[in-house]
Amino acid sequence: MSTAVGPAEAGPVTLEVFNPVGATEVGTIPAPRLDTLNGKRIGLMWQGHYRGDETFPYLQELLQKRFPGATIVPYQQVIEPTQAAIIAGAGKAAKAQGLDAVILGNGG
Amino acid sequence: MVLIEKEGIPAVCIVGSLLQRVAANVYRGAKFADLPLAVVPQDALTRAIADYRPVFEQSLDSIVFGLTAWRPQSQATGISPATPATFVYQGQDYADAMQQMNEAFLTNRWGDGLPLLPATKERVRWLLTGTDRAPDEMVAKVPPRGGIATPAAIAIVAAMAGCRPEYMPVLIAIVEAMADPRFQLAESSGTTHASTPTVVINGPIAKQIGINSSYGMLGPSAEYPAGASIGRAIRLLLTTLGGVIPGVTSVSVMAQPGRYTGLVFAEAEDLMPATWEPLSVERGFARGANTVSVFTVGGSINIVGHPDDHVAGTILSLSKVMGMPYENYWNAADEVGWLIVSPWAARTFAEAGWTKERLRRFFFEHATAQYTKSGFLEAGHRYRGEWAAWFEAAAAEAALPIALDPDKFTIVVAGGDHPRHSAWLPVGVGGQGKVTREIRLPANWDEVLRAAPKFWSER
Repeated sequence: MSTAVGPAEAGPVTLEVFNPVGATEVGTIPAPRLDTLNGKRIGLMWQGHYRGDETFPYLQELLQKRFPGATIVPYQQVIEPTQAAIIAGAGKAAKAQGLDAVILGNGG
Repeated sequence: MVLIEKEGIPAVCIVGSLLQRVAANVYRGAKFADLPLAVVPQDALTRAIADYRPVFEQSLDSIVFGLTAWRPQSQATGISPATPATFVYQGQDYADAMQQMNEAFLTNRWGDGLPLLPATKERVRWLLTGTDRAPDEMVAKVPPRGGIATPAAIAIVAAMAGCRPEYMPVLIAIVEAMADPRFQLAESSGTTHASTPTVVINGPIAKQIGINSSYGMLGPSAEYPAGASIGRAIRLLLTTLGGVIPGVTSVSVMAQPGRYTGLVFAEAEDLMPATWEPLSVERGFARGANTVSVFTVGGSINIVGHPDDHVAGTILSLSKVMGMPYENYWNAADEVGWLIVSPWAARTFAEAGWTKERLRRFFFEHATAQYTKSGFLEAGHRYRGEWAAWFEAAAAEAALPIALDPDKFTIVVAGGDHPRHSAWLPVGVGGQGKVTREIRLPANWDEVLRAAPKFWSER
């Protein structure tokens, strides 16, 4: 075929082109949610950005106040606070530490 | 977040308002139709709002909701094709129809803002003659959106970018390499940083298809169009299949001109010192293998040096430029940057007894940076573990090595055969893993090459 896009042609032209977005796959079902956080073990994960060293300790206070029966595991005890560590092992760390739920951030 | 949910543990992610759609693209790329986010004002995370506490008091309800009462909107599963498969544009002539197409694509936020060529059935079929892989074979999923990159889907963006069939094996190898989880493509695409994919090509294919390794190899060239076309196709792939849209799903504050065409060039293997190994060989491939090595960079800094007059002084100058207070060095697991050395400079270094290994050791010892207080603290928390004592000692002097070991400096030989200029390409975000992939050629490669025009002249 000709490799040129083509010069202007006489008369109306119809151009049919592919949709460029490609197919996607959906199918992962989110984990079941908890009835309450009371009595549960909640882990905090900080990926190392956007004030998590300030906001997570305060969030821990707020959670503990609202759910006195919950165990809030500070981010320092869950996983190394870096994006690379979380990408490599967030799921395994959560499972190994027997967490019932995780709050992570801060994505800014 | 997606890794935690996959373990059956509910999670909620706190995100600034600016990154809300970035986060949504990430979970869609992991095949979740939906996941809960606790969105907080961006300013509370960037210290524009000094007191974050009221914000988090207000956000507590949405955080708790995400872990308890939240439910996904849909639980449908399966492959969802691009719909519709094609678009039809009509014009008074070909140029007018192309104009209609371009305006529609811009409205959909597809492309890089420059005119696109039409991905017609004929052009896509023509491009697919450059590969013998099945058109519908999955090569990769492109984050954050998770669009499925098949050879056919890659050929569509390649057509839009102006590629030719002989570029397809390289393009497919780059997509495979960037999809390596170590490369962290999602992070590179979504970040506030200016990071952009960078590719060096080794092996005879570089000369066969005209990838520039010489004068101006980081810039435009009518003589060597392959690198720019391939790099542009990568950007279009990220935009369309990956859903990377500036200000929406990519929040690069500044970006950089390299995002138009990437930085795609070849190593000048035939001009490098005999005692230096090409990058591909350093990474375990046989000399002569066709490979792509991928990285992300925050920019390109041209460094003037005079190795003919003073080798040691030039090398020290390179170290000093590298040693800028650039926080992203501290995010770099495997490489802090690529140093591009011209063939002439490389030979001069080698003749003076400088191997790549000796250079890396020197850079490790002399490329040190003085951080501002905030940057220093940001960097410091990452090394509380085994590096705590070292970091504390270094902090006392306020000058820190930019890398934790010499192997984090990558040296590539390319550029015009001239002594005076080098380039430092500091790491962006992601781009890690030192990922190098072999390029798979089709059985009809000789035939493909015979049909390929040659725009460059032998020097």
